[in-house]
Amino acid sequence: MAEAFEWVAARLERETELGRLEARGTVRLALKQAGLEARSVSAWQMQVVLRRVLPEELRRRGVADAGRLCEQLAAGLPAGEPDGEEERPATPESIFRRLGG
Amino acid sequence: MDPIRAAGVVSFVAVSFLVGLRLLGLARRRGEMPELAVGLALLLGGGLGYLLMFASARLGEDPGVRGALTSLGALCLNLGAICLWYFTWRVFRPDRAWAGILVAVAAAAAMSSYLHEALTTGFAFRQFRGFWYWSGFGARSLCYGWAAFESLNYYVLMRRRMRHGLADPLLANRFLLWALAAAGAFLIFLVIFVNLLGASGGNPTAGVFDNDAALLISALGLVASLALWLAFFPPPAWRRRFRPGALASAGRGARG
Repeated sequence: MAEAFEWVAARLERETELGRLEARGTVRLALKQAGLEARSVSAWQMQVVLRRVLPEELRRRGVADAGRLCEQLAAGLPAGEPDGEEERPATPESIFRRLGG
Repeated sequence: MDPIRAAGVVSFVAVSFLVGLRLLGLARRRGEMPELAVGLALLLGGGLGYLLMFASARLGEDPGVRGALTSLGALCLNLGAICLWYFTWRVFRPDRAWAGILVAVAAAAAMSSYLHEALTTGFAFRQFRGFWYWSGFGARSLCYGWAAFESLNYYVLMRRRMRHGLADPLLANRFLLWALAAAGAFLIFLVIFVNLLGASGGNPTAGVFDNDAALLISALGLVASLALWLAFFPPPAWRRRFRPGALASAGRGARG
């Protein structure tokens, strides 16, 4: 799994009453809604998911003040470059970007 | 074959040739395998392979020349298909064992079919039937079906990312175009398959050169070549359609 996924899932487990499986499942669902995968999500992508998708998922599970929590996690997430794919394994996106010249 | 029926096939061969060469140029500069694999797939499969098969059917009056052209064309088509299987695996399913096994099976089917024909008829005449023919046909056709499926699947993911500003719209469109190009090529094989099933056993012009199917194949070839061109040689006007401003104004237009 990607570092960003593990980091957010672990913090959610610690900061909320969600269990390990529920926390990881909730993050996975939020990622899926945004077209991302737990094994390849970057820090930058995770920050967007934290601000735009995950708050609603947490509210549905009864997590209080989900927006503020997600904003804290987004701010605390070790920052990544918006296009820092060079250091990560090649993805279909990075390969097709190259193919376009 | 009249010009209208030939247009799609000719354009598909020409565009495959040009895009294949361009991607091989990228592969040489960057030393990356996906560029090499897809470049070879297009150059050998879509470009040289069909060109040689077309030449063997139209120009090879001498059985020896025809056999040599057909043998070389079939070799290119099979190698091109193997490259496409490899490309789809390494790009979309690099960590899936089943995908690697699938590619190995397909490669074995393509090459054993080729070797069987080389050792039995020597490509002096084609036999569009039997286990060895159909296993090779399956390997050469399904590579396009798989490429279309995986690319379309990824396009759906990219559309979700776009909603959150996580994907470049032009890049997302490239997945759609590649899926369309591969689907067009796959459907050409499907038309040939149906055509072969209905053809009499010894009909040497059955398949791509049968006039009944040629018009449909031509239309599919045109769609595939256009999609291929736009995917890898997007002209400035096409690129402009996907700039943020253009998308925003298109969205406002749709809402208004």
